[in-house]
Amino acid sequence: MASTDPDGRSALARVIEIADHDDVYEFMFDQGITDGLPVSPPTRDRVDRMLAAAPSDFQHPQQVIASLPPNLAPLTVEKAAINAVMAGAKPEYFPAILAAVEAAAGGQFPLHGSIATTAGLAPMMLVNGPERERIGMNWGLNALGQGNRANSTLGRALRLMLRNVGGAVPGEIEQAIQGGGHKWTLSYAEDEDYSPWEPYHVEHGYERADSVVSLIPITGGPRVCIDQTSRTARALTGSIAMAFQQVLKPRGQVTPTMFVVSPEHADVYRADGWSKANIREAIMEFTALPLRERLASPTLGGGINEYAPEKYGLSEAQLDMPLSKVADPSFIQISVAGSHAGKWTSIYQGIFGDGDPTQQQPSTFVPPSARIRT
Amino acid sequence: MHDTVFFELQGKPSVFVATSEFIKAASHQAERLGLEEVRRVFIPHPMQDRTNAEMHEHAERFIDEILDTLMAPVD
Repeated sequence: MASTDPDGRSALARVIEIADHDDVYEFMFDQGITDGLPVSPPTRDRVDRMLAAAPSDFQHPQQVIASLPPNLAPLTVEKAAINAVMAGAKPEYFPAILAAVEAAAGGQFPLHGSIATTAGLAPMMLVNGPERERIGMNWGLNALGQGNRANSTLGRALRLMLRNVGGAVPGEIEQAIQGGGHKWTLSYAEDEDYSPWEPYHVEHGYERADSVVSLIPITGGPRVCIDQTSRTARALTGSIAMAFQQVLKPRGQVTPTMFVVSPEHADVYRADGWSKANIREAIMEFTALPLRERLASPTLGGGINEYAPEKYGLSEAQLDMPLSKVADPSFIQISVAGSHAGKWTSIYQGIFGDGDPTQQQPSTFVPPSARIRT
Repeated sequence: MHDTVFFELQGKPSVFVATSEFIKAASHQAERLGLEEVRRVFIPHPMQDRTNAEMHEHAERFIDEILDTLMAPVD
C-alpha cells in the first residue's frame, strides 16, 4: 500500500509485506476487507497511479472527501484510491468514483439510512456525459449486467469504501434482510444518442457537456416488463404501470424508482411523440387506486396501515381519493439503456413509501448527483 | 445507537431500545462509536406486524425495565 503519493506527499497507509509463500488474495480475505469476491491487491504502484488520476481539487492524499457511515469515519483521497484499486478500477475511473462518493455522501442521498435499514437499500449509479465514453462504459447490450469493467467497478469501489472505511459489514452493523446483486455494484451509462429525450443529467439541470454521476436509492430490481407487442405509447405505459404496481407490495406505495427503458421501447415513445412527463402522467393514472384499496386488506395483504382511517379520521370521501403507486410524478425516474433486440423496460424500485394518506406532501425528487472533474 | 451515544457524550443519560434481532448490530455499533457500555433494552421481535394493542402491551411490559436501565449506573 502507498506510503507517499507520486509527488512525495504523505500517504499514511501502512505497507504490508506478504510473504512469498502466502497467497495475497487469501491474505486479503483473511483481513475481512473483501465483499466476498477476490479484490485486486492495492500495491504501492497501483495506488500511486490511482492517486495520480485524481482531479485537481483532490490532489492531497490525506484530504478528507467524506464522512462514511455507519461509523462516520473519514474517507481520505488515499483511502478512496486504495479501495478503488481493490475494486478492480482503472485509474481513469477514479474521477467518476470520487464523484459517486460526493453524490452518495453529500447529504442528499440517504447513505446512513441505506446501510442501517434492513431493507437492503443501495445506490443505483447512472453516468452521463462524455466521461462515460472516455472510460469505456456500457450503455448497450447487458449494460446493467456483468462484463464491462467500468460498469462493474464503479459501484463496487463505493461499496468497498463503505465496508472498509465506513464499517458497513453485513452481519455486524449492516443488517440487510436478503440483499441482492445491487449491494455489490449497480452502475451503468445512458444511451444518450438513441434516447428520444434529453440526457438524464440535462433533465436535471446540467449541461450536455458535463459528465455526471446520479444516484437512485433502490431496494432491488430489475422487475422486467417485457412487452414486445404494444405499438402505442399508451398501451406500453399501461403494461409498465401494471408491472410497477406489483413492486414491494401491490397495495402499497413506493419511493423514487428508476425505469430503464430499452431502445425498442424508446422507439414506441418516439413514434407517438411522448415526453417523460407524458409517461409519468400515465403511470400516475394507471396505478391510481381509491385510498381504501391501498389500505391493508385481510385477503389481499399489506398496504397503508389499516388503522389509518381511524387514526387520521378519514371520511368516506377521503377513502375514495385516488392514490397512485408513488406520491409524486417526479418519483418516476426514466433513463435509456440496453440493446436493440428486445422491447424491455426494467424497474428498479425504491423503498416502501406509505405514510399518512391525508398528508401526502410530496416533495419533488431530485436525484443526488455530482459532476465528474478530470 | 448514534443518538444514544450522542446524548451520553453530552452528559445526558440515555437508553437504546430495539428488538432482539439487533443485539449483535447494537454491540458492533456501540463498540465502533467507542461506548461499548451504552445502556440498552431489547424487546421481543417482531415488531413490524404488531397491532396497536400489542404495541401498547409491549410498552407496558417494558417501560419499567427501560426506566430502571436509564436510572442505573453504566457498568
